[in-house]
Amino acid sequence: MKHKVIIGVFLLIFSVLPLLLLLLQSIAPGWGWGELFPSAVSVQAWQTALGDPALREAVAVTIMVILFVAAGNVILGVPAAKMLAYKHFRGKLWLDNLLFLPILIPMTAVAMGIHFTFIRAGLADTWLGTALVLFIPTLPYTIRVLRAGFERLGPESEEQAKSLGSTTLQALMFVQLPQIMPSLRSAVFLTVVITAGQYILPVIIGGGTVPMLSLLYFPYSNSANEAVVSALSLLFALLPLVVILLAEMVMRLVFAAAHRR
Amino acid sequence: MAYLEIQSLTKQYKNEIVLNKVDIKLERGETMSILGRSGTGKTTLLRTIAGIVKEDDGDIFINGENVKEKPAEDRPVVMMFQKPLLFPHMNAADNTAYGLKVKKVPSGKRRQEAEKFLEKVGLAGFGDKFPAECSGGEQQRISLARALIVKPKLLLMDEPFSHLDSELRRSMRLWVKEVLKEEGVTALFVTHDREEAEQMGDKLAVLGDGEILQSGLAEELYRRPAHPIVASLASEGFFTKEGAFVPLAAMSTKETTQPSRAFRAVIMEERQAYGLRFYNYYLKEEEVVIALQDESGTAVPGNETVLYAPASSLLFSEHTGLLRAEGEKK
Repeated sequence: MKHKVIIGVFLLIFSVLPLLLLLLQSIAPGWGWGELFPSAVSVQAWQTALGDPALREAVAVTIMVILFVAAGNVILGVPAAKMLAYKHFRGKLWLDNLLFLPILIPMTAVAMGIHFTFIRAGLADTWLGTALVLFIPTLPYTIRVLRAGFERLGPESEEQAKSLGSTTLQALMFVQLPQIMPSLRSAVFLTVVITAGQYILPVIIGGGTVPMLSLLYFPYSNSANEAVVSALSLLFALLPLVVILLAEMVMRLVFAAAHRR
Repeated sequence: MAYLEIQSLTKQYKNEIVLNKVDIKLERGETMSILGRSGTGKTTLLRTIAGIVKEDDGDIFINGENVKEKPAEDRPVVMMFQKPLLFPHMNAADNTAYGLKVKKVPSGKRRQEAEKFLEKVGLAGFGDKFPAECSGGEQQRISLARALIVKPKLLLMDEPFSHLDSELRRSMRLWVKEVLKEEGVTALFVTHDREEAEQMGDKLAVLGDGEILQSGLAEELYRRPAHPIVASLASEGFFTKEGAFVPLAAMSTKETTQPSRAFRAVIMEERQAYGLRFYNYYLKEEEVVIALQDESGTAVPGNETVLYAPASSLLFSEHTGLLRAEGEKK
């Protein structure tokens, strides 16, 4: 009970209150310091923000990039995590550490290094290039989180499924992934949040032509209109949540379809 | 050729030979119990036959077909593990019908078959229950139904009752044996429990240090154990480190006036193992008046010889008398 109260207070202070404040600020344009309540309520800031075609495009591109990165992380992360969890081979420890190097090296250095390769490959200044480079700060976390899930599950489930006639893919889809759903959710959540918050990588690889929300946020934040900035901040905070819900729905649909077959 | 014929099956991990040219023959519908101590390669043997572990050498013929090159999912073999390993996100019916699902049997037919097999294992009406709602015994029954539903040519059972309490274990043995016979399933049953091995198997094989030391009817192994390990696991008697073994059945007491050796046994420790009560004995040769004879037949005066045995190597069963004793003369 005591723990629940503490968690509730923390959630209130660090999650609910800031969002509530942003919401109030976004609908109370003239709410200045010293006033207990806003003098006027208006949705003009939201109309301004959502009426901006650049912002609408940025939201669409950001959702597309995030979903691509999240899906790619799951597709690449699951086999890698499974291998690291169950296979024993020479150099496993090195590989394990190597996978974390992109996170340890400053992003700017990584981006600059990879930029020339992407220019040669024709991926610079494209949304695909931007999405691909975003695997660098996300995939190591995905692998680590999923690996912990596979390790907790153990190899016996797959062995039992195979003994009953499953192929490796069937065992993964029907037996293993449904059992490591909490890890899968955490991995997707991390991927979405990290991807949405990236600035340097989309700037360098996207070259300013791939309008992600994070890129648009900074010019907006310099605006004098606090209500518009608040509306955009709220949008920026809610976008990952929407994408996570979308991803959850997709995962549920996939597993439900697999289960029904 | 026998229905199941395993020839020279060999598996090595780094420098350790886990299975050394294992040969097994079994006819259709028979169950063979494989008895062995922990770490003798019992589980590896089953995992190799199931295709989970790749063998280094040898052949596995099932109904005349060599399955050694087939992956686990294509072998007509199902393995039941020590734990029931039910899939927790599926109900009992879905768990039971899993093998049919991966073979793309329509869902209506799957459910029907699952209900039928659940009924066979005495769990009619359990279809919608989830594993977490079932007891250990019920889970193991569902696991058996799940194995039988795919009609395997060979069922491998790796100590499937080891997680159950002793009473449930006993009732499950009899019941599972009955189901296997009803279904005409050919099975290999691995255990370290002699009583379980004798109850479950039509035949008995003793695995020691990766080799089948002896196989045959339980009675044959009991009467004529061919190896000290067989003697210790599948028979009762007295043997020494030199390998001399006297089955308990062949031992008797009699009064004699001939020169003899007498021993006094002192209980050093009592413990429980394999469902039996064991005693660790200190055996001391009595300094008796009866003279001993050496190999030439000359009487040896007195007796200073003590058969010294470390406590851990002398075992005594309350039910069966002296079970085994290893010792060395000092």
